[in-house]
Amino acid sequence: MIALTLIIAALGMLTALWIASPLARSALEPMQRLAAFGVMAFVALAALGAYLAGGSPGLPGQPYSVTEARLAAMDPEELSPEEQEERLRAIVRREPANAEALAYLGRFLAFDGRHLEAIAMLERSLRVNENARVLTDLGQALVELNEGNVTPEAERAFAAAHARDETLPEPAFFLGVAAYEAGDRETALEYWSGIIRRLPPADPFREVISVRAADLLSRPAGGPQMLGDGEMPEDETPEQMVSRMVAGLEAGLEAYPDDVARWMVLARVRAVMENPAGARAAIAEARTRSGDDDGTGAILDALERAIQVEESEE
Amino acid sequence: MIAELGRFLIALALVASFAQMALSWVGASAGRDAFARAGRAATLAALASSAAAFALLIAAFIQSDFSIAYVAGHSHVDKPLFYKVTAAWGGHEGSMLLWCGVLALFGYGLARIGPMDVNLRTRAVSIQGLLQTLFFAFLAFASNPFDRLDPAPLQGLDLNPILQDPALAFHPPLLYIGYVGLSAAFAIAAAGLIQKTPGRALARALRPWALGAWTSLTAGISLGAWWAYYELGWGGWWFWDPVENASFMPWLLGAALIHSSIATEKRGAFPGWTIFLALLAYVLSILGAFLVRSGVITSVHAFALDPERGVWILGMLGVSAVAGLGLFAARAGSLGEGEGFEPTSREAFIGANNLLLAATAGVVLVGTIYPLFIELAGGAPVSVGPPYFDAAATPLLMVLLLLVPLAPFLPWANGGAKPALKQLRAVFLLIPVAATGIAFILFGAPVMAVIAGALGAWALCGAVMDVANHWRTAKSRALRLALSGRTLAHAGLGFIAIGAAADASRPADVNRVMAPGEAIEIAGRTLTLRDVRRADGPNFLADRATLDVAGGGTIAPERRYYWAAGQHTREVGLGSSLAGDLYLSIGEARPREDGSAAYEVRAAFHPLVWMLGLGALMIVIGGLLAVASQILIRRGRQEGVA
Amino acid sequence: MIKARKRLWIVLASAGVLVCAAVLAGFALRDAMTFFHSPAMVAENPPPPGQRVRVGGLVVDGSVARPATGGADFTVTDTLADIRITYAGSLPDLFREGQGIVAEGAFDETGLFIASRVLAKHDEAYMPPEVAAALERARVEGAGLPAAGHDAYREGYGRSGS
Repeated sequence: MIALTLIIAALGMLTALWIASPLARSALEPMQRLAAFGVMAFVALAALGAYLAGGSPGLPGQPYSVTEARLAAMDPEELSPEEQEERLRAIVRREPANAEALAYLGRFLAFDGRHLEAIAMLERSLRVNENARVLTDLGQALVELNEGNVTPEAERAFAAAHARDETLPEPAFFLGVAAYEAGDRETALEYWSGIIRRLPPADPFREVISVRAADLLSRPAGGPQMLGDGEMPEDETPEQMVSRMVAGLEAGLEAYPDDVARWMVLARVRAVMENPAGARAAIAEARTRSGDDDGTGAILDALERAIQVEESEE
Repeated sequence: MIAELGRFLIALALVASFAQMALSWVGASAGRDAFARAGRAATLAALASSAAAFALLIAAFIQSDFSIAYVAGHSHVDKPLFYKVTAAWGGHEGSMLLWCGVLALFGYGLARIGPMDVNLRTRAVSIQGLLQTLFFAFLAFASNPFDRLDPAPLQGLDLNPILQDPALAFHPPLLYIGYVGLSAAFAIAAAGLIQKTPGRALARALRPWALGAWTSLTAGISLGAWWAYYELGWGGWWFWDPVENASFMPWLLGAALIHSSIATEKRGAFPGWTIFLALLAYVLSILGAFLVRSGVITSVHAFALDPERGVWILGMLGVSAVAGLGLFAARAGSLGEGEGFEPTSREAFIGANNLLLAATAGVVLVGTIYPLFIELAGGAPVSVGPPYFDAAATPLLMVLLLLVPLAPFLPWANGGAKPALKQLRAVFLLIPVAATGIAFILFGAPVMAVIAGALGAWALCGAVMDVANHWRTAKSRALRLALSGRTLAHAGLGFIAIGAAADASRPADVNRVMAPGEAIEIAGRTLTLRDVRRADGPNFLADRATLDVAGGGTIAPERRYYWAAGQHTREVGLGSSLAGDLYLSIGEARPREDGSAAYEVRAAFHPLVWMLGLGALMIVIGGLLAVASQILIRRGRQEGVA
Repeated sequence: MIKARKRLWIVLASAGVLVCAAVLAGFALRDAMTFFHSPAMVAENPPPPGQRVRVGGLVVDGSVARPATGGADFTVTDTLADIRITYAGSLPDLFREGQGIVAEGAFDETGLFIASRVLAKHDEAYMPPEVAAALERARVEGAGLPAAGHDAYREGYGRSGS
């Protein structure tokens, strides 16, 4: 502030002197000297006035380095989301090979919904250091970017993550989803039951994944629209159609009695047809067929719960 | 501190400009040398302050000081240093500072090397001081680049990505030296009217300034057109957009001015017209600024809209126009009566050139502001697009091109076409002209393109004949420079005409969605998409497609996402050869049904497009040679006086 | 006398050229002028099919279809009415849902607008004046501005405010 005042004063005076000096030097009479002085005073004062009309002399400049230092000195807990982002970006700028910071920034951006940027950051982090966690985040960012579809790119990321660390729940779950979307329920079930088996009993992901898996696997093949109105041939009532489907399922199960997913579908359809005993029987059959596997068991438990809820609603 | 100091320097430049105007006025009116010298001192003060303010603005950009609103709106920490610097003139406020700085530069130039008549020079410095005061006041009070933000944002919004380009870094400075340089011609013309200087002397005094400014304007417009060609990704180089027209109108009048001032200086023909042009050219420059910066007209690349600024600029436009043209109306008689000439004289052809250029400028002006008038009159919104300009302006320019090669062979004053025709050996000229025309017809060009191509060849041959015939008679170095300048510029016009004609007859663009491995064909060339890879930069993410051209070579267009600005851009891939440019851009990914990635690809072939660049370059070099010749002549005159 | 005659031919020649230019400009203007129609204007009084016009409005959220063969279809609105537009070219990079755009082209018999040019501005906070005016009229006439369009319009400056 003091330095600014001094510089402004010096500049103003010097310029005023410079402009008025030809007048002053050639001045012979007092009036001419007065004119020279007048010009000088006018230049200096008018410049000051024009400056003060909109100036804020008390406001210090804020080069980015100052902002950066301020953010670095603050407790991360107190930062607003924007400040956190800037802080992370500053670290990444300083240490372009800091895989951890890159991953943090990537996660932040993903959380903020800026998936394109998030993906770029996570990929940068992975180039420095391949890490199962970061690979998982990359895969999820790709999934979110593509509105929930597990694209081949995302699948590759999840597969790499899964190969590095089998105990991570997300890669296994999404790989299962990818297999499911491709129509391969057996592989999907394998992934899902496998990860549930590996997770500790108290892990919340166990519950989440088994509920989701139970829902997906028990859907009739060909998608839910098979039960909808649109696809129905005109000469068939819904009941006829469902029973045709059940017949098909039962025939299929005779051919492939070890297909657990098919048993699950049967259980669900029977539940819809208000045949809870049949549904339970189907689930019990599935349990036996799966060799009392812990993971599959959890999924079947979830299915059983879901069906019972349906029952109690009706 | 940088910001506040910069703000003070702008205030200081404003006051110095005012002092320059007032002191020089007194100096010229009262014949007081001390005041004239004080006015000259003020020109340096204004120049130095605005240059220092500009340096501080650049420093603020380099430091990324986001407490300055203009920096926060046009920069980002992660932007490359080069574009941090160029962003200083990439937005409205910064470019206004540049505009003002150039005004001050020309004020200083006028004070140092202005008209040789001392009083005329002092008066011109005063008028320039008036123009400076207007613009510095606008800068200081309505467009200050050092306005502050408190609290400062954490991060800047980044410079509009399409401006992050080398050609556009240099386009504005050149354009402004052109636009604003016309202010010097304006100042000299107005000063001459006040001083009642004869028209011939006035034309001599303003000619070098008009030449220099117009040359720079040509360079600026050409860079802009080149940028539009490869950066906007539409493949055009001229769209008749209001923003382009805003620079084209002063260019047309400037071109008229540099020709008419020759006739006025050498023969005393149409002095009033020449001075009128000098005044009008700068007024149209300000009108251009108004159109570009006020948002009154729909344009795809205007500055951000701000009606308040529009009112300011309209005020400045009014002051300049009323002062200049009012002065002209009151004092035109003092310029002296024009000398007569015959229809086949060189003056007549220069007059025709002026008439056509001015008519073209008028046609462009009507098309540009017609929608504005309709709207002011309460009519339905309309727009006037390229078809209008193609139909109305192009024929005029073609007639102009037809006359270009003839004028240098015509004698002054009494004229006479016979000796000229003999020298011209017109028959030889017609052979390449016909050949070019036939070539265009064979390529299936539209009629207008055939004519334009033939006319281009005509202008080229005329330029060759011009230099061949006149080189021996040009005795001094200055005359040779002038002759080279003239022939280069006229030949440049020829190249531009051929290039434009070729581009107008190019094959249809191909727009296709392609997956890697697929191929498209354009203009007989097969392009295969090899792959699309990531190619991120410091402040953008990019997908780079690589396309193999059958027979060798690859072209790699990019699609970028500038994340700070939240904007997608295309980086065009060019495969240039003597035949023309293969022009490729890629758009967004379009996943196929089966999940495989495919990309929108736009391919075009622009034949002979290099001729446009070459032509523009030749005009600019020609202009520079003409300026050099003027400097030599003036030096000779000064030595003669001393 | 001779001087007067010399003047005369100059004046006549100049007048001739200027009249030619004026006539040229007049005809060109009549042929090349394109009127802007807001969706509400089109709904009320549709221009005849094939006539070259400009239309504009905000791109409706979720209305953009990008067929795998290239080109795009989308709907613009001024909150009072909608226009469905189809465009065979490559959309400008700044085209996005919720943004104000202007399209030039003609309607076909079914009321579909076939655009030959789509304009979006370089500056993403830009709103073409015609579109802005049409929206303003719509607002005055009582229709609410769709939230999505408004937000998208502000997106560009959202971060500088904080």
